[in-house]
Amino acid sequence: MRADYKPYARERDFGTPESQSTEQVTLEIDGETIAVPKGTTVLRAAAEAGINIPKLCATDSQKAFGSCRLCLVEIEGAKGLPASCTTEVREGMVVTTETNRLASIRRNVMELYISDHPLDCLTCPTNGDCELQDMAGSVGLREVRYGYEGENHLDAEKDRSNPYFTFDPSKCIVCSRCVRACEEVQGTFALTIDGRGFESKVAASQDQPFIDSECVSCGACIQACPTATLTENSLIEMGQPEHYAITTCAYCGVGCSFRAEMKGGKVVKMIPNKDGGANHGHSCVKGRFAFGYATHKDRITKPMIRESIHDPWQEVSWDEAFEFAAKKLKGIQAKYGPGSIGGITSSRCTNEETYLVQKLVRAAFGNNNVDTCARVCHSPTGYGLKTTLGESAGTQNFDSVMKADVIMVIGANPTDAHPVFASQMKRRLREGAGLIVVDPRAIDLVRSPHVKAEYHLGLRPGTNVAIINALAHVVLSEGLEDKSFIEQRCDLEAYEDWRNFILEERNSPENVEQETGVPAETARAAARLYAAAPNAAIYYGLGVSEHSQGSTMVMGIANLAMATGNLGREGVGVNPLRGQNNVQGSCDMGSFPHELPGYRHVSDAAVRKLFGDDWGVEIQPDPGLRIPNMFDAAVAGRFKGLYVQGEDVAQSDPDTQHVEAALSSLECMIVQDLFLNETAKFAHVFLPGSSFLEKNGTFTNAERRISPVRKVMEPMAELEDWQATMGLAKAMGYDMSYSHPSEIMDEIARLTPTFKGVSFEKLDKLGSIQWPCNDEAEFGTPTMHVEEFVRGKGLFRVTPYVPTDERSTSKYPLLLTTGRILSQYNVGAQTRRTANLGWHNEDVLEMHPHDAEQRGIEEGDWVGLQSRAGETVLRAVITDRVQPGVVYTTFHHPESGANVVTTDNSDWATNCPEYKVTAVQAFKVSKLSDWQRKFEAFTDEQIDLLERARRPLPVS
Amino acid sequence: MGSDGTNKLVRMANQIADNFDYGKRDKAVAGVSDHLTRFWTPDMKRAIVEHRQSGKGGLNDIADDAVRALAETIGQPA
Repeated sequence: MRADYKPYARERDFGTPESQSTEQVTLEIDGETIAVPKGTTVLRAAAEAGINIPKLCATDSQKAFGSCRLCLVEIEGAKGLPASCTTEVREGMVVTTETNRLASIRRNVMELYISDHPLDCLTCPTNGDCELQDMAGSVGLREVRYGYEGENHLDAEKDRSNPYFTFDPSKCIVCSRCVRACEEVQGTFALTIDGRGFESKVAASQDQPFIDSECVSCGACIQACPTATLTENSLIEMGQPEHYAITTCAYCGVGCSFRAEMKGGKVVKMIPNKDGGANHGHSCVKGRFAFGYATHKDRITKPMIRESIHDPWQEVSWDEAFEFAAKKLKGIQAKYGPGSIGGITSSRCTNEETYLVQKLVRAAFGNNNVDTCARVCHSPTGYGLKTTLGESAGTQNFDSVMKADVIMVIGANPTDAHPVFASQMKRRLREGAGLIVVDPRAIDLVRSPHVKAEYHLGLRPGTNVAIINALAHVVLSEGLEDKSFIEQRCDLEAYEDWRNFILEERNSPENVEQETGVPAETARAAARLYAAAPNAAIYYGLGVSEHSQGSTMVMGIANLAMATGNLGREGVGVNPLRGQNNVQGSCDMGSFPHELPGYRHVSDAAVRKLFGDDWGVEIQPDPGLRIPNMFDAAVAGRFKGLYVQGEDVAQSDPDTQHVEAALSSLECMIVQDLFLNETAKFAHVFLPGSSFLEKNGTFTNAERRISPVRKVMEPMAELEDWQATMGLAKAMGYDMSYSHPSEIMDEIARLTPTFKGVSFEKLDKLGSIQWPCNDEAEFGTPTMHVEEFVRGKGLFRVTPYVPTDERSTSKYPLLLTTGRILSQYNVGAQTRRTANLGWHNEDVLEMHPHDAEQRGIEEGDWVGLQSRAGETVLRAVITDRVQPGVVYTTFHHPESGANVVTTDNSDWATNCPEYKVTAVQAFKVSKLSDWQRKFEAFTDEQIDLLERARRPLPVS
Repeated sequence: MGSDGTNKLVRMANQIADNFDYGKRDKAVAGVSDHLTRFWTPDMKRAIVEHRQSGKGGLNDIADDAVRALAETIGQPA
């Protein structure tokens, strides 16, 4: 067995959660003296000493419940037999866990459980991995004196409605672990115990099939179930796993740690890792279940080439593909100049792979024309936080939220887009933290079970900066700022400029009310709540960055946090929720055209020399093309060759028709991907990619946490993505000779001060590391800017509100804003190839009843959506979740063409597209748009050209 | 660069200028020209400088001054 594989075993369960107390208590259990933190339960104290008291209803992800009566113990001086799960340790306590009396009671308890439980252990899915079975063995159950003929639940019907798991109530012991998991771990409250006494049973929502209930399929209940009542379908089909490896989810920026539980080269289950620093044993429907895309029949596993995008694909060897691509790229450079080609790195690939692509561009292409999809999501975060605080990254770890007293969520929808972090946030909210939501839509957090926002600032799309300035205006005009923090930590000259600006009357809540639609009193109250909190934290998403003033808004957020002293300790901070799994990493790795790894500008001669000497090349001193600049240059005929690794710009980038025109004009496009995605339909070279299960490397999540990605199956196309990049580089005449991604990380560490202390060896030891990790912070940095800001003094930047050009007009009276939903991920290339499709098989247009009525549009009607950029047709969903005048859609399906409508308007500083505001008109239609019809025809053509590569040639 | 491309550059430069338009004018102009220097490719810089020289206009006041300053830093006639 490989060294990083471990034999399969259920994760150790200590019965109750760890106590956070620093005070130690000493007690004696079965004659052993044990010291544990105060607040620890007897059950956990025993488990920590290696004494496993029988238990069924207790599990360490949940508070003690005390219902099963198996964990009873004898305690000297205590009356009766207390349950060890609900009894906290006391100094000098003397506990006995095994006596004849205890054994007899436990056996009786088990006898009762088993009297109403099927005895089909040998054919049961959890055979060999069942806590009930283990307990029956542990207590020595030998007979069931009650017989099996009495009233029972053995015929209860299975619920197979969910595509990923089966609910078999005949196996249920009503321990409530699933119900409590749904409440305490996930925070959805979808499950309950219905009925009383013998009638008690687990029910989803109003006793509905799971699929129709509020269940979000996070898997926490399955994790918690001690029997085969809730079981993964993959386990039912495949049987128990044989080994596992710890790896990192390839979906969102939370970056959950998982145990890939395997049987040979097949994944049986993805189980969230309890020791995972980002997720602490929790997961969502995507990471937990939606991994089937990795072995989907649509995977392309052979390199392919073609002269024109209207030619059939031709399968070739890797070397032939590299030679074909390199010859074309070199030819283009000879004809159109060295700057006529470039590359796009992937935020879904590993740090090591991303690093290699930018190295390929800078060293082998000889220019800085490299960019990444962060351009279209969080580039304003990079710009804004670097400018104000000095580092292009979030300031905290996720756990910090547990110390926040007030949480402000701006332009983010964590329950859908960052579900595992949302569960942690909701846990803190249930503990009493205040919540302010700044969002045009009433996202779930505004009101959901046991969570209610104190204030929802339902602003008009495009008015973020006006609102953040208004909040700051309240803070300064009412004297709520943290003067000593500002004096000690910030640049005072810049602060004075900012202060004078913010105090101008134009920034008062009353003055911006008309523009933003937020009542001045609500804005004032929200600002007071935020400023008065001992610890206030801001979490934000693409609703901040994807605007014409995205960067301004990020700086506005940093200004507000600095002014109120909410930086540099736990419980506070400025926290961008990153979209894709490795957006942070791809930015760190030098994917931007103006920055080398570690956010160092290419104009810095010393940095250029450092990399140039190491790489044996001269690095160009001028910034290269950003993605939209590449497209513009392509349309203008000056940019002709592009290498795209693991991105789908034809679907994800705005103004689709412009992107298509740009891609069609290229003479050589190389796409490296798992599937023939939308972009690959315009490609001349297809390099088959490897999924996260097929390669080694690291991902860096939204909290700067570098986590290992481990190869658990062989790459389907034989090469891991970094190896393919090396092959292309070699064909271009630039040799890279790494034998393992760890060597690439060693190079990154050697050349990047914030990564100096990072190595695969250390990651194996620590599990994960938050950068900066160097001589000053050997084990990484959970909280940044503690003593001083990375840039020295915090810099307040003046943030004038400049309204976007995308305004509603008589021609385009509505504002379109876009977002994401829970079951789908980004362009959907992965999630559309899983059973997640069942939850969301098309993108729809949300419209307020008032707007719908005006247009004669009813639920389910086809609606033409038209902007100055283009037109598409979507089905209408009428809802008051959106305000009048605002419509909303997602972009998970290519044929819905959401980005045909979005425009080339972008953030002033970074050209991050303004996905969140597009002026549109909507009207009832009866057929698809012209673009959609063309799209269908083009897709049919491209699928046929692909199939011809796979079909044997006709015999002539 | 085609006229469409240049129009886009003019729009971008104006947008940058709008976002620096506060307080002392010199500072705003310097901010814009520094931004163009740090983030635009040599081709884009050349194109915007040439656009200004050709007298086609379209740049707002601050952007216009910033492009003039940019011309000096990249060694082209203002």
